Amino acid sequence: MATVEIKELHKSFGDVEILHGISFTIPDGAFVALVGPSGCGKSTILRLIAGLEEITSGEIHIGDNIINDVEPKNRNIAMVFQNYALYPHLTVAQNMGFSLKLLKKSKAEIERAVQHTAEILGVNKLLHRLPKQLSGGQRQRVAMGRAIVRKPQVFLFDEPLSNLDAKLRVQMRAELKALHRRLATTTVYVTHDQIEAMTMADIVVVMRDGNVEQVGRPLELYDKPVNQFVAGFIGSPAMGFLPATTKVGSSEMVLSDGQVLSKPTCAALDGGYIIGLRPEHIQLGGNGASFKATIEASEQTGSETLLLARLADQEITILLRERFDTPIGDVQTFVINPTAVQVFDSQTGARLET
Amino acid sequence: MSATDRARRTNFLLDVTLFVICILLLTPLILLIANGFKTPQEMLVWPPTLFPKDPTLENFHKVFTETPLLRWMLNSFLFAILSTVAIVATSALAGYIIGKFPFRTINIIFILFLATAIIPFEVYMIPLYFQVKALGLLNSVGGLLVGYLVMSFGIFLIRQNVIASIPDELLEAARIDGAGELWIFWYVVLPLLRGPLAALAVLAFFQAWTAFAWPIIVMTRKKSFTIEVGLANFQSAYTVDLSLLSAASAAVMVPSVLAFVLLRRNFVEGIAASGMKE
Amino acid sequence: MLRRKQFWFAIMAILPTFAIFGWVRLFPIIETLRLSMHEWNLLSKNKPFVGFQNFIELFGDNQFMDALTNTAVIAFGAMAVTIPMSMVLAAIIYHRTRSRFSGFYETAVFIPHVVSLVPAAMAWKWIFDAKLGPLNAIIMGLGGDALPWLFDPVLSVICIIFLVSWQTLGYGVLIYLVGFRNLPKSVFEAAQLDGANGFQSFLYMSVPLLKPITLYVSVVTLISGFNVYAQAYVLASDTQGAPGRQVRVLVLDMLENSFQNFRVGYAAAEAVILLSIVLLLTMIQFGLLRGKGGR
Repeated sequence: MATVEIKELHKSFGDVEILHGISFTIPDGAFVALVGPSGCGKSTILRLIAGLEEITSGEIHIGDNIINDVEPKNRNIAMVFQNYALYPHLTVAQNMGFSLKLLKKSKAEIERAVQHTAEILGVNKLLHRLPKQLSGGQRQRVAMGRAIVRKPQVFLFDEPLSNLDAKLRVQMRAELKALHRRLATTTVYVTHDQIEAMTMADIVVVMRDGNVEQVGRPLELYDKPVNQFVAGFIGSPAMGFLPATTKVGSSEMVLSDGQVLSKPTCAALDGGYIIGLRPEHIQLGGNGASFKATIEASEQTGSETLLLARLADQEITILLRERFDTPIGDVQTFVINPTAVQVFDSQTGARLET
Repeated sequence: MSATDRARRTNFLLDVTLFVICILLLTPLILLIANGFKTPQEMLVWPPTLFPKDPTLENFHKVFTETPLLRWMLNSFLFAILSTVAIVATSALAGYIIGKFPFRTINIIFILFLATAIIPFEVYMIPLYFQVKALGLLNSVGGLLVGYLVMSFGIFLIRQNVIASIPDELLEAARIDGAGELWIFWYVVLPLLRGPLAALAVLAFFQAWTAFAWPIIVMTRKKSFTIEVGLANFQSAYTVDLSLLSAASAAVMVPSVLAFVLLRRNFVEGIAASGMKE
Repeated sequence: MLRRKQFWFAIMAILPTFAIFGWVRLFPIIETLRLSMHEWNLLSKNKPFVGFQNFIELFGDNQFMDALTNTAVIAFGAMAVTIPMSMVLAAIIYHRTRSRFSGFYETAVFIPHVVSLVPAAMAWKWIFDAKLGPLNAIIMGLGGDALPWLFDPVLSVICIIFLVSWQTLGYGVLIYLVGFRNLPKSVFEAAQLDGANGFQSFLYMSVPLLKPITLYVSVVTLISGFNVYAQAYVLASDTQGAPGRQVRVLVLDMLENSFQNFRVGYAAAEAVILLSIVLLLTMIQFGLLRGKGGR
């Protein structure tokens, strides 16, 4: 059983506290993504799980054991580093077989295991090459191979795809996901790219400045973000935020330029709030409750149109799933489904259920 | 044991080991200094004592007043300073030219400098000796200097630094502003080379100070000995008195060590640079 | 136009240095090569050309072969001691970089290198002294017999190897420290996770990755080993001035031939042999470095 439990984890470097009491649980066999902006502490958590840094306070459990004081090599964990960290002086085969060699396995056994893993990853023709003779994608696979061959109980990935070009990244995402399904090993995956997190993970942990903001399934985070930060972080292009006011009993959110967005379920609210609009939820339209915005920029991708518009003196993004040609400076009319509008407390940023 | 405790224990053991090794490494020198304070009689005692029972300054006093030690130190110092100046000057200018004026002729000259860099001085010092002799410069600092006026490595070091840290644009801007080449060298290039020049100066001084084979053939008169040569010949030249010998050696050693401790940064920079020339 | 002006400035500026260089480096080197093929006894104006006779005679000369053997043993011996010790020492010092003593370690290790050759040799001369030195005192204290360190042919060579290693250790440690600092940290973390302990990391990761540095330090210590002279000179007598065994080294033999035996051409031939050895070692270093892909 390889559940990973983080309990009240604190980490300080000198006087500076980086992690302020992190707690969450990773179920056995799950693929968990740790996302957040740079500096939020996600890589630090990974390194603490690996044992490459010391825990200041708190506990980490793997399965039934507390592993705080267990040496990295005894934790049965494998890690894929951002820059792959392949042994530059060893061949691909030696790289992958190194951990087994340290365990004093027989040469035949090592060869078998390496061959098997190499075939899964499609690098079996590269076994005699040195890392510097490999492309980025190939190195990545060898790094994964090295991790897999040990049959660890937990995989740790530290932004493994960030050094690859866009196309390769998409391909590797799918392959990683397929690999996870095949091996069914608990995986902790750190990335700053929320698309990677959303598409690959069973559970996503959103972090900011050393705190956990939200833990949940990807769609949960999308539909029900716990606060403004998560709402703005998850989803691309990012949600647009506007200040709005409403009065008790009213079904309207009034923007600063006087325009009105209908939201019948906000009848219990009173005062100033922040509303969030996802670009993909805004559509062209004119009937009924609509609002006008001035187009400031427009990008065509062939199947979609990305518009940068000014609404109530704020910049918002609008994503239309169709071609729409409109000159800059034009004022257009848009609609949005009232249930898609999210409301946040203007002081705390917490999302309000309405 | 927790991870932190384990790390602390390993570190402690390593520290102890390192301490012991360092003390062992320094022991010969400590003993030498200690010997300098022993009376001549105590030096002949068996088994030998580590530290003087009756420390005396007599040896040091004698060494400075009755032997030419001071004079030898002066010789060495003069030689080292002049050599340093010559080497720094020639390396700075030559290194700058080779680095920033890549003409074919200059490049050929550079290759010549490089090619001879690996040849040890001992290989060609005999013909050079005859040159010096012909010029009548034996037994003079001038004669010593002849072998230590240029340092191929110095030229190389400055060249590397010039290429790495002086942008061409800076020189071109100065030229456009009407500055003469010498002016550029003196006011633009040299200030930027302060660090490497300091490291080179330390290296050059050290090289001249510790030179042995060359001074020993060039200087044959006792009065003109450099400190290394003088010390080596101390016994045949002066005395069988061991404590005196130790005092003399200690007196020579201490300034070098002090200089090193103070200038460690420059020193290390210079030596590390010589390692990275590959 | 500007280029021409620069060209002349460059030539003029480098001329003094080049002139000095030609006089004190190029000319003597060529002279050495030339003299090696001639016979000259310092006094006569006559320097007859003798072709390779000097070289042929050298290889039959017992004293020269003695010097060559001794020098080679010292050079390789010192290298064999210095390389592993400085690598291990550097590894440990590097591991303790964050300790407040790291400055002390680096300084202490390097001081033997900084102390000039003669005082250092004097210090060791006393230690090795058969009658008065602490080394024999310790050996006898442990129940052994006193050894004639500076008198016995084999032992005196060992003494010199020891002295040279002691002096070179600091240099090796310094260069290796630079090497360690440039090693990629993540590779070691990966090794840690793969299950390597400190010793295994050192053996399987540090040592192979430091090969270029090992090569460099080897060649440098070998070359300076072949040029050993001061140490042999100083240790040639014991602390009371009684002549000990003078270890014949190449430079010593060379100077003797030149200034005592009045055979300058012969000595020059020796110099050429020394030069060939140095060049050979350097070429081997470059060759090996290139073979491993340089990096």
